[in-house]
Amino acid sequence: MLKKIFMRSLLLIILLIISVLYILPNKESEINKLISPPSNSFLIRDVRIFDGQNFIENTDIEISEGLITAINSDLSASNNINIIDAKGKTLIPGLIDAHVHTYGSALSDNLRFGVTSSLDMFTDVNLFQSYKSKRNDRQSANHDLFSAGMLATVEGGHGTQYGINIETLSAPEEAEAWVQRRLAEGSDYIKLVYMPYQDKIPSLDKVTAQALINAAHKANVLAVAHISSQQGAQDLLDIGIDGFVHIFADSVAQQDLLQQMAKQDVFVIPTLTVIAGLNDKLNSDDLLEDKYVEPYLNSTQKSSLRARFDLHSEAFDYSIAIKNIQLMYSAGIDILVGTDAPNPGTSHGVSIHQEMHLLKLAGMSEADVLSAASYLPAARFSLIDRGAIKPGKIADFVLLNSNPKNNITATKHIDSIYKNGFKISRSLLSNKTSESKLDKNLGEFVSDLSGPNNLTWISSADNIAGGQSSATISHVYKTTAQIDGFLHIDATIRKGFPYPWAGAFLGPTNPTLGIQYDLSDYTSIQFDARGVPGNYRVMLFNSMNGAPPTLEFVVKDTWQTYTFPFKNFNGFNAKAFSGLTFSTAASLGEYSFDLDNIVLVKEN
Amino acid sequence: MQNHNSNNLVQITNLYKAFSNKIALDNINLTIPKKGGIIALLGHNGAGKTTLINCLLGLCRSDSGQIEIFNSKPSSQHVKTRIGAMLQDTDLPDLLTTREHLTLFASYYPNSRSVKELISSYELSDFADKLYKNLSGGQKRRVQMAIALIGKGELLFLDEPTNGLDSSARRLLWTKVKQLADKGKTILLSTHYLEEADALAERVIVLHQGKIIADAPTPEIRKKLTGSIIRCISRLNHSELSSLATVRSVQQSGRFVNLHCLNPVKAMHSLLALDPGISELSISKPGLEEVLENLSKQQTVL
Amino acid sequence: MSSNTFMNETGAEILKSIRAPEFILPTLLFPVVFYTMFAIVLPSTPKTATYLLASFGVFAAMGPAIFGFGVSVANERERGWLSLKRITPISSYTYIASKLLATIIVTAFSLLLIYLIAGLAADVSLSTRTWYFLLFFHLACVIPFSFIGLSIGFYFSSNSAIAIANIVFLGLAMLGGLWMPISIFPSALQTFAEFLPTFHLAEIALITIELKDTERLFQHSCIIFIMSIIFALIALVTWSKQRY
Repeated sequence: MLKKIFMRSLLLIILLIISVLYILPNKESEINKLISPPSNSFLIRDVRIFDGQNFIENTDIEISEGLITAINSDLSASNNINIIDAKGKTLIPGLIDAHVHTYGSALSDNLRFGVTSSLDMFTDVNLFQSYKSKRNDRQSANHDLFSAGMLATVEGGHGTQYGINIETLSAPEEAEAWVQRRLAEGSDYIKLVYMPYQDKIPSLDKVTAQALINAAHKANVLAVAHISSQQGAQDLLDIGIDGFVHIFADSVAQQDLLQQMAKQDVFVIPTLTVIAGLNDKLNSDDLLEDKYVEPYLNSTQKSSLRARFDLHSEAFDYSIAIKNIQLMYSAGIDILVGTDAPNPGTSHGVSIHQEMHLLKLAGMSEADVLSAASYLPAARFSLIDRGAIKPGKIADFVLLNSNPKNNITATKHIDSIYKNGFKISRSLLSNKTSESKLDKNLGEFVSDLSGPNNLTWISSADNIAGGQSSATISHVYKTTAQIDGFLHIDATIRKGFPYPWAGAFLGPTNPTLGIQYDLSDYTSIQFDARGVPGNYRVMLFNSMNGAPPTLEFVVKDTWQTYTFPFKNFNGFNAKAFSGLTFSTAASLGEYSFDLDNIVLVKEN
Repeated sequence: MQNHNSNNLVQITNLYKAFSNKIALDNINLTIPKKGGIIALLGHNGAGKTTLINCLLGLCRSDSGQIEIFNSKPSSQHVKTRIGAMLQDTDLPDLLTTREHLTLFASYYPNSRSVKELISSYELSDFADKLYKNLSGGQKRRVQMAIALIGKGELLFLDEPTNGLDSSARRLLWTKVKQLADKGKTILLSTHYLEEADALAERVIVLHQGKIIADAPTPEIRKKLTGSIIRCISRLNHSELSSLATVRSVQQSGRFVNLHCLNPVKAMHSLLALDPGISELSISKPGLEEVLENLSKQQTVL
Repeated sequence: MSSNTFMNETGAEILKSIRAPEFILPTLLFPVVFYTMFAIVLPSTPKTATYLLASFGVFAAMGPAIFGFGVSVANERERGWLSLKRITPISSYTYIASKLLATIIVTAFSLLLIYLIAGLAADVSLSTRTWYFLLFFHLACVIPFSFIGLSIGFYFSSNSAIAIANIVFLGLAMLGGLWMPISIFPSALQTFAEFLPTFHLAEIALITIELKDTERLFQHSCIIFIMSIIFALIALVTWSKQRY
């Protein structure tokens, strides 16, 4: 009797433990929800296929464990396999964006718009390495990232302005070892920046460029280049470059050069969208108001599409770019689709549809544009098993509701997207973490420098971007009783950077997370400050690219409370807050200042 | 000097036990031979009865001397399976039922009595499924008694089993104890009621101030307790009173005297002859008080 | 015999616990009500709710252990029930072990209730593995607190045991930072907390759910291990003093 009580209680509690812990929210289940259906074996019936080069009408395609196993009309389906009737629909290969810079939620943004692989032309090495290992995992639906990793440039040259640590080159002798280090880091190819014939910023010289190209070829990898002039392109052609990641648009291409490009089989990734943006010729509303596109854009993508360059580059003339594309296209030179996302006016995934449209408008045929976004980049960058719908290839493809054969904008009419045979959820809900609410207390500094959610306060100065300024921050208690404290910043501004800064930054512990927060419940930021009297700045970040919206304020040697409405920060999108920096606004010298009670407030 | 007799159930030799500054047991020597029956341990509260039983049960460690039960030390596993006990002032947890208490204790013994059988044969079924806290005093005592029996022990210790019970409950318990003895169990029962010892036991051990002052078959003890107590206020002095007919002892108690006499009629006659003016007269049977007085006097004489 | 005895004894302990509302209400519902108040009624984020879950789980394990062992052992000892057990063939450790298991089972109910509130009402989300680890750890907290309870139960009379258990229970909870993080305490109290098992157990719980760095894990574990042994020794000494 007592034994029965014991056995029953034990059984009851074990069952309760199992069932309660089963229904409790758990983090893994949210990840698992991304993929549906869980099987990556199925059959698609009666579909039109663009296989990467040609259209095939009305056929069946069999997918088994993430691989395309057969394409034929009237395939017989084995038992209990899922059959998708795709009458009237068109299957195109998973798109490949041949020019991106990976950051934040780039990979899931890409997948949501049918871009299943991308060729990154410069990103944070650690970030790339963390994704690279997932490329060969066929049992999940990861976007496949290929990358040059770090780019080759000189000190102060193009590429050094983004705040990512770069090992610059100063002599041709360094090239071989430099390339070896990149390959050891996992770079899939070598990208160099070659911008001579202008006097604004320094560039690699031809000898060093040659040494880099030779070293890459010796290691059997491609060498591709960022160029800004026809003369630069000619130099690199002479020394064996494999491809250009932008089209030159300073002058119309000359016949000799075109012939040489064709003869050497060099490819070009024009990145027309970015050039249109530089020329104020970019219409983002095509995407932002498109009912096939807008529902799948998250707020980061929207703000990135709305953003514009605040500079004009005479080196990139849009009409010359169009003309050069036409010339190269008729010369039989391979043109690949690349967006250069997330530059202002572009965003990951979505922009590939605009780039394809612009290439069509420039004169390419629909089939060639599609090929330039699938078969060609795969072939040129040796992405084995990708870029084509053929037996033996990976089941990366996009099922379209309209036929792109005579209308390239049909690529936006997506029915479904498959990666490794897994259907991708296009829902933005799975991206919830990137747009969550932020606790209003950004910095109370009660006992440490922790911020709200997973954010933390760290020191930030231009030395991370190659400058000489530095900052240290610390937590200081107000009284010996150690009940409450504040943030203390020692900053030293030194020469050596175009726009120097030194101060404290609130952002994610792991900056590659790029989480964004919705601050639309609040109207203003408020904080207490004191310090060495003078001018200081507060900057709000939407993304880590470009100059952030900034306000200046005057600090006294006693505590003052400051309140700044978001609307005074020019261009700040409160729905996509990603970080905050306080810095001294002084030009040179040593400063120290204290901050406390940094809060978000709602004012009427 | 130890008389090692392997037939004895209990053998206590020169047992001595003191608590802080009070001597509880003073040179106890006691033997219970292998044989059924009831042995009464008679004495005042504080005479050392409970201490003696606790020492026998292994609940209390002696200062010197030896105790052997079934030729083993108390508290050895071998002993624990052969004894049962009802301790003084013990209460079981309130929130278990009679049946649960019995089931629990039954599970402690390798060879226990069936709980069902025990409930019916001890007439516990009326309150078998009642919580312990809702039982009457007598019912509680019967549950404790059943627990003492559940391990089929041959030797049972009942420490003041009827203390605080009304007379009907007491008589019921007596019947049960007698039945046990009839079934061959050996029972050591402590009490401070003379009549209880007299009614139940075949042998009485009288404990007084930590000493055994008498240990004899009940009839012998009873013999020493015949006669009556005459209580009155008299002007006679001690020696005059002592010389009265059949008077064995005289005790002054305040204004009163207590005369222990073998024949109260003869004694009254001689008393009234010497002192016709006595007052507040009462005659009663001798109680434990007188027995102890009597026995301790005899022992010192011995 | 022993497993049969153990199961019966544990069954009896469970029955005694669930039949005593004065035990069930404060020790099981107290933590649940407190957690609801701190993590749900008062404004908080899922992060603070997760933080509080770690420490209130320790709180929930402490109540049944300190009261179950402290008050009920004192009471059962005083009634002579323990003496009665001692003259039977079972080992006294069976009683302790059964009480421990019964306490763990009863504690599991209250922990699951808190977990449910945390997960469903306060949006606390952990990986399944972490939920299991946390539950396992919270249940293991019963052991050191039981030794504390045993010492109280063997040393004090049942009336004083109630008062002492209350003081120990509330003191350990509050000063050990189970209700609010000790970082808001004055520094003297923060130092004092280092001497309390509750502080170290709460820290380990926070490490389990990855809200604290594993840096001090070994240190906390060692301190808890040593404290448990000390409490066990105190319990043993007070126990053996009671026997004779």
